[in-house]
Amino acid sequence: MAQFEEQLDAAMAALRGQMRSSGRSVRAVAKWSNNQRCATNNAMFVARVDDDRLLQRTSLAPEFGQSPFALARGARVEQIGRANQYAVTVSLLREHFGYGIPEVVALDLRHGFQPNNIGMAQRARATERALQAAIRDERDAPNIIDGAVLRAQIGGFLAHLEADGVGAKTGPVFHVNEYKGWPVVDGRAHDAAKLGATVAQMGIYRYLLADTIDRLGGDPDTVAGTGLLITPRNVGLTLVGNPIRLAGATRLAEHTLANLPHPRDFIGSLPEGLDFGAVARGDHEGSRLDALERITNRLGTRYQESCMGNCGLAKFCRARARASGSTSLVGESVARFMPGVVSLPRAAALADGATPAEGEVVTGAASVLAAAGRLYREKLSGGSLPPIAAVGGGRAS
Amino acid sequence: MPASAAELMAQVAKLTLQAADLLAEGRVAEAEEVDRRAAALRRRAMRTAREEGAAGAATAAYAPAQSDRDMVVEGLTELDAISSPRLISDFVLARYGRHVNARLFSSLRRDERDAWQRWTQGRGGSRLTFVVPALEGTFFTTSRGLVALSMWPLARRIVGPRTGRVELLRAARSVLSALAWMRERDTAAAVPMERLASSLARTVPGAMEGWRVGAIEDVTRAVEWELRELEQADRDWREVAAARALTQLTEEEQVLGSAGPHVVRRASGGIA
Repeated sequence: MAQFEEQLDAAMAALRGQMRSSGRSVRAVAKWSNNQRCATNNAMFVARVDDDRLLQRTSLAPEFGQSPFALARGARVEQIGRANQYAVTVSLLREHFGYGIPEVVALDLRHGFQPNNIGMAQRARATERALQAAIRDERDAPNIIDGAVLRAQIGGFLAHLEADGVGAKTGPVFHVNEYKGWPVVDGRAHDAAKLGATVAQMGIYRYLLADTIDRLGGDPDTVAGTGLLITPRNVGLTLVGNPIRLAGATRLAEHTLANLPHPRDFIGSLPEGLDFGAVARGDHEGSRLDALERITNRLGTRYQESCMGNCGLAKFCRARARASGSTSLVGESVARFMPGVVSLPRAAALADGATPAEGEVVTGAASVLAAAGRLYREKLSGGSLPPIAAVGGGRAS
Repeated sequence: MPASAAELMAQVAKLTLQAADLLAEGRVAEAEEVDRRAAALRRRAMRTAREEGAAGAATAAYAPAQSDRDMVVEGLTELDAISSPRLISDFVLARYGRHVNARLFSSLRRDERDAWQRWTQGRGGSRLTFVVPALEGTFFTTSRGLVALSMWPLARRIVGPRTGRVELLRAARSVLSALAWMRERDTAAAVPMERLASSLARTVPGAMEGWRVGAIEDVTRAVEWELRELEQADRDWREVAAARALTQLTEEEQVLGSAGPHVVRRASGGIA
């Protein structure tokens, strides 16, 4: 078994090439899950390729990534939450989850452990001991497990995932706590996308927490359906608690974790001499992009709108999609109206009255596009209306 | 003629020793009472010392300046609670207007350890008390980022499951008491202390109305109420741990902490 894992590890190292591997984390899972049907994304996930760095120093390098100010603010928020023996966190748990006055026992797993796999394994064991104490209703069982580490099988390997915090109210009732540096302004998240990503992350923690409790002989139903998101209020640094319903996110997490790609499916997927390291290294942009072109041609890609905020190859894939006139360029919600239509120029032609093919008729896309074309012409009737293809509907560059 | 600060502090030392003897005999309730008297006397001693200092302001130019270490000892004495370097630093700034960098504490702890060892080996030293790490209550290793004074009874230097909150509430109570005193004398100087008090009391149920510390009696009452709910169980836990520590640890380990458990290996490399 261990030998098989070693072989898998070696195969993934070969796929990765001469690149530092990225860690197995909930953030990486959430990032991957944005586009589960992209084979290149799947290959990068199993080989632990850091796609954010892959195209650095090229014209297609991604521009996202957290600003140092956002990182500092996030660290400050966590510091405030933990200051004075978790005073603010205790107060928020009392306010939102009805913690009793004596429920102030905190377990700090962020300090006193080595920052490596050995330390993470020790923290996972300490987390399980604390959860077991809560399950058995022991008197001094921790109520706040700061930096709890949960085990999960990710991409065929055992991974240790670090949660911001796990709360354990007497009963027991467990729940996940998450600190975030972005603000909640007038009761609404400042950035809906960040909130969505956080909820997905909390869903994974909740699922893993329930799984751990089940493994320890406890009742997974003791994990509350609500988690506590702790963020600053408005522009200041006063922390507020935001209870978040996690039932849907947990179902999604279960589905996501069950469908993680497996390394064995990617053994030998690239020809000898071709790996992701060839894209990351070297000073000549042309040869690096050429290597990536060969990898993506071999594995396949599936560009979609959400790639722009999640994948380091997004600009590269968008350029490919432009070149082929892919319908994915106009966004998922619009592309969904055009099943069976192979490209944007074809969609423009159908709107301008081209004869539809059988595949375009049976999906209903042809009639929708013809109707759209009719409406367009009626709206701007008077003879000056150019055909849709001529105003950019068919632009493919 | 009223007693001087030094005389009062000497009485505190006697009471502390008396409390230690009572604890050794298992007379916990009596020890607690003596400790309370010692704490009150300690506060009075420091107040007297400050008043004496103010009266002798004309000679202040010739008096040696207080070191950062002295400020930390004074801060801890007044807070009367196991505290983090950050809290001591904030308190000293609000109380005396003196900035003590929280980063000083790692070197201070090393100095104090060396001074304690010199003193116990009879190689000199005249310190009345030492700044020592609080002890984690299971294996009596040093507790990360929490300091205490060596003159406090062992049970008060041990950290149990609820000690973090209990000591925070004790510190809040001391800060509120200092705030009341400062508000009477100098409203402007009390502002930083009020800020510190509000940051400590904000998380206590029913302590604050809005953002400011209102009537100090009301806030203190709320702090006392939560403290009452937690203190007994915490004290019981720490006293049991202290009794265990007295039998298991050397005198030095009781003050500076033990090395903690470690894996013992046989010569062959196997775990014993």
